[in-house]
Parts: sequence; C-alpha cells; structure tokens
Amino acid sequence: MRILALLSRGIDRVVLAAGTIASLLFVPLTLVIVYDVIQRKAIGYDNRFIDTPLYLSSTVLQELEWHLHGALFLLALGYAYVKDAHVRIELLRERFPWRRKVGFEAAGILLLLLPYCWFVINYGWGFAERSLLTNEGSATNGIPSRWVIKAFVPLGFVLLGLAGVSVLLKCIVRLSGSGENVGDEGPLGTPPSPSGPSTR
Amino acid sequence: MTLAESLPLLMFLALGVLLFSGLPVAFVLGGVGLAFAYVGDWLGVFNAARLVIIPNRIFGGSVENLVLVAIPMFTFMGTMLEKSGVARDLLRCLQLLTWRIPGGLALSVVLMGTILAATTGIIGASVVMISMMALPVMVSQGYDQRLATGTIAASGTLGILIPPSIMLIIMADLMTLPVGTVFMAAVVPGLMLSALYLAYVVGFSALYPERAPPLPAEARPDSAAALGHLMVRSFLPPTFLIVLVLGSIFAGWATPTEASGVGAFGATLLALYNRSLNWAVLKEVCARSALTTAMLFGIFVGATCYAVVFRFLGGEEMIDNFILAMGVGPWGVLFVIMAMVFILGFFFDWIEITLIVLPVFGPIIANLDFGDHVGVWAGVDAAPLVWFTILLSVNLQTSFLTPPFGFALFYMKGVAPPEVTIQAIYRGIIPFVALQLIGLGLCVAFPALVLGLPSWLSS
Repeated sequence: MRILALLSRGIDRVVLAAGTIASLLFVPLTLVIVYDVIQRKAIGYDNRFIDTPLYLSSTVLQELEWHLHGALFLLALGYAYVKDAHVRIELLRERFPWRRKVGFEAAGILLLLLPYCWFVINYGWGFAERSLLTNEGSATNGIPSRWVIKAFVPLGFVLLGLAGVSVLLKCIVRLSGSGENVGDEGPLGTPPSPSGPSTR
Repeated sequence: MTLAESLPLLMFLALGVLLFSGLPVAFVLGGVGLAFAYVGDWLGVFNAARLVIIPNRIFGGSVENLVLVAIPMFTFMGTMLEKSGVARDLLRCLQLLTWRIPGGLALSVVLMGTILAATTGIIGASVVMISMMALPVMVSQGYDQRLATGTIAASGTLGILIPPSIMLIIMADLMTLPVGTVFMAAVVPGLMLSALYLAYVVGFSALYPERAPPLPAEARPDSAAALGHLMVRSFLPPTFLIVLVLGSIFAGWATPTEASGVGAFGATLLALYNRSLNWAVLKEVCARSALTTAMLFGIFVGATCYAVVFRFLGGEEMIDNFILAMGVGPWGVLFVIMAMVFILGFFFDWIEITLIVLPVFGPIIANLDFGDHVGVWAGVDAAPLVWFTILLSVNLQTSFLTPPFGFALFYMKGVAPPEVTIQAIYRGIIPFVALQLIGLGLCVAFPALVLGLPSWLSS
C-alpha cells in the first residue's frame, strides 16, 4: 500500500506541474489578444508600423490564440480531476457511505474514464500523426506544423488518464484500510475517521 | 422495437442513471458514448471504425475555434475582478445611496448584481462576492432571511444572462449563431428580470417595512462631497469595463474574443491599480480560472463524443419521430422543451442541460415555424433561433436557484453566516423563480423584447 500511495503522489506531482504550466498560459493568451487588438485597431495598419519588426501577422496571432487556449484546457483536464474541479451530480453521492463513494469512483475510473482516455489517446495519436506525415500547415499562412497542437489532444488525455490512475490508487489504498495517508484534497475527500463506524 | 433500434434510448437512460452515481459528468458523457458505440458495433448497427472522426471533432469543436477562446478569457476576467476590490467599493456606495429607503440594502444588491453581470460572464464570482459582502450586513440589520437570500441568489445569477456570458457563447456556438447578436438579444430580457426583482423588493418592503429596515442613522454618508467622491471611485471601474467589453462588441468594433482579452487585461489593470495584485494573487487567479476552464471544456469534449455516437445510432431521428408523433405543433414542442429544461434544472446545471439538450433539440427547433409571431427582424439572421436561445437562457436562470441542485444556492451556502438556515435559502428563492418564469412568459409573448435591440443596433 505504501508503494501505491507513493506512486499516486508521484503521478499527482506530474499532473499538477502540467496544470500549473497550463494555468500560466492565461498570461500570454491575454497579452497576445491585446497586442493583436492594439496593432489592428489602435495603430490600424499604419505603414510606418508594419515595416518595423514589431508588426506581427494578425493571422499568426489569432492562430496563436486558439493554440494557447487549446493547450491550456487540454493540459488542465487531469489537473482539474486531481483538484476535484470536474462537475458532478452530488445529489445522491453526498449521502453515500464512504466505502460506496470510493468504490463507485474506482469503478467509474476503470469502466468509464480509462477506456475513454485510452480511446482518445489511441485515435488522437493517429490524428496527430497523419497531420505530421502530410506535413499539414496553416490554411491561411498562420502557424505551420499543425501536428504540434493536434498532439495536445492525446497528450491532454494522457494527463487525464494519469490523474485517473492516481485517484484509482488512492481508492485502493483507502479501501485496503491500511491507514496510509493519501491526502484529503481531491475527489475522495477526507478519509473516514479511524475511530468512527466504518459505514459513514 | 429491437435492441438495436432502442440503443439511443438506452444510451439516454444509461447517461441519466450514471450521472446520479456522482461521477464527474465529463467522464460519464465520454465513457457512455464510447461504450454504446462498441455495443452498436457488436450488434452490427454501427461500424466502430467511424469513431476515427472523434479526435477531429474534439479538435475542430473545442480547440480550433477562435470564438470559444472568449470562454477562458471571460472566466479569467471574472475571477480577477473578484480579487480586484471593485465590488466592495461598489456595494458600499450603493448602500450609502439607498440608506434611507426601506429595503435599500436589497435594492443595492439587485443593482450590484446587474452591474457585475455586465462585467463578468460567470455566476460563481458574483454570488460569492455579494453573499460575502451583503448577507452578513442584511442579517445583522434584521432583514427577513428569505428576502436576503433570494435577492442575492437571483441577482448574482444574472451574471450568466446579461452579457458578456460564457453560457451565451456556448449556446451561440452550438446553434451556429453570431455571439454578438445573441449578446445583444440577452440585454433587454436580463435588465427586465433585474427590474422585476427591484419591483418585488420595493413591493415587499412597502408591505413589510419591519422585515426590510433602512440602515440606522449612523450609517449615513458623511457629506455629499464624500459620497460624490465614492461614487466616482466605485462606478468608474465597472463603467470602464462595460464600455470596453460590451461597448466594443455592440459597436461592431471588436469580436467577442478580442473584447474578452481586452476585458481580462482591463480587469488585471484595475486589480493592479487597487494594489490588490501580486504574483501570488495572479497565480491563484490563473489556477482557479484554469480549473473552471478545464471543467467546462471537459464536459464540452465528453458531450462531443456522446453526441457523435448518439447521432450515428439514429438518436436524432428517434427524437424527431417522437416529437412528430406527439402532434402538438410548434407551440406544443416549445412548451415541452421549456418544461423539460425547467424540470431538468432542479437536478442539473446549465452546462449539462445546454450541452446535452441543445445539440439534440437544436435541429428540431430550427425547423419549427412560429410564423408572424416571431416575424422578420432587419439585421437579425435566424431570428427564431436567436429568440429560442434567449428563451432557453432565461429559463436556465431557474436552474441556478431550484433545489436540490442550484449552483447559486451552493455557492451561497458555502459563504453564508451560520445563522442563515438552508430552509430560509430554499424558501427565499421561490418568489424569484416565479419572477423568472414571468420574465420567460413575457419573452415568449413579446419576441420584440429579445429581437428588438439586435435589430435596432445593427440597422
């Protein structure tokens, strides 16, 4: 159990790091939009500006915007699971005894989340690979090498799958009753108190 | 009906049952979608090789979509605004302006909810901010708890109806309508709800002045000059943001995405100006915005998988046939959908309802003919669809307030003072849900409320 808890913690570290990097993409995303708006609306394609190296093609900037947006949310999918930010219908769940709650979570990860991740990783890989092999670029002289951002689809689901494995390991540790600490943040909430009845 | 024919129905049932297991909605949507694809493959009604298009749909629908970039940006803007201290000044000022009037605190809450709604596109921020700042004051001044909680929940919820709004962006994207038009169409219905709330508060306070007392004399402003100063200081920042974001969209000067980025930047500057921004705050705002964004797009992606499979299995035809078989005409269909959304709102949030209901019913709505009732509006393409989208979004206002599952109630419970009971919150929202339904009825009866402004602005 000790090894499983350590493994889960190690995975969390990777997923959290990816999520933190993703969250900081808000800064460049905001700046890129503002830069694009200023050069088009405020400076208005003044020729004296266009000739300077400060001028960046609006097509490139706008493609950069959705590139950043896509990378941001895809890299944060697993992060949101580890932080338990994915919306649930809590109506019945909040009344479940903890064993059922943890058991359902484990079953959901095994039967729904991991197959779903496997599927998107598998097909998403082919999707990005085809883009690389056909040397797909931008249709409008924007950012070349479309495969880079396409690869974020399977990458995001690798992180989500890893987050799923981590939560699954925590479920196993909890259900084993070994008392190993797996933290009380995240989808499983606080552990049952050792003295209390084990049904709640 | 054979097993193969009933697959879409079973798929719908499986989704419903599994959602109540309490697993994240995003995974349930994706997992159920794929499971039924393979069941269909096994039964020979569907070739699983066709699933190869799913990554393409995810990419094209959620990533390579410049319009949706406005969603993370408006989320960031709302979260940043919560940290900027703008709301605190605004509420203080509104309270001073209304200190003598019975029900003044409740009136200032409605006004504040309306102003915040025009600066943010999410509701969590508004409800939490108003609950934290206004609820303790109202309770300590002897306000009726039901009036206090209902007013705050309903006013905070306006955030997602009055543009900018991430809900309207998602709806516009799903219905392939221009975001700007949908934004304009939501302005009058949003302000109308706000006016209904104000009228209710005024009426309630006139009937029961002791349950909505004015502030005591020591709370009055020091001087007219001080009040004037506070007014300028507190109204200037939101006005600046509203002009920057909504003004530039409505004037046709900027796209919603451009406006969202500039608004996010503006909110950051305001926080900087109020000295409430440092590296730790920036990191926290980024992290919280990223979690919300990932949550929204997680459901978006899951719903994409679900919808693709549902369509492949013949689910759309099934619903089409079902609606035809009811033989209730366009008004009947509208009524059924609205009633269904209202009832679903007791258990689900806007995001699940929007992403599950809209893709399924969108094509049906597009084919309904309301003839002269909606009419033709100069400058508004697909007027019936715009009208329907706004009806849906007004209706969804109730989903935030109706127990057991209302987002607004949830947020409020988290920050309410301990003496506020959950019963008071549940009973407090009843008149406001009634007002929202009246607002919905008015929008149904008078499409001009919805379509007048976009038509006028674009001509």
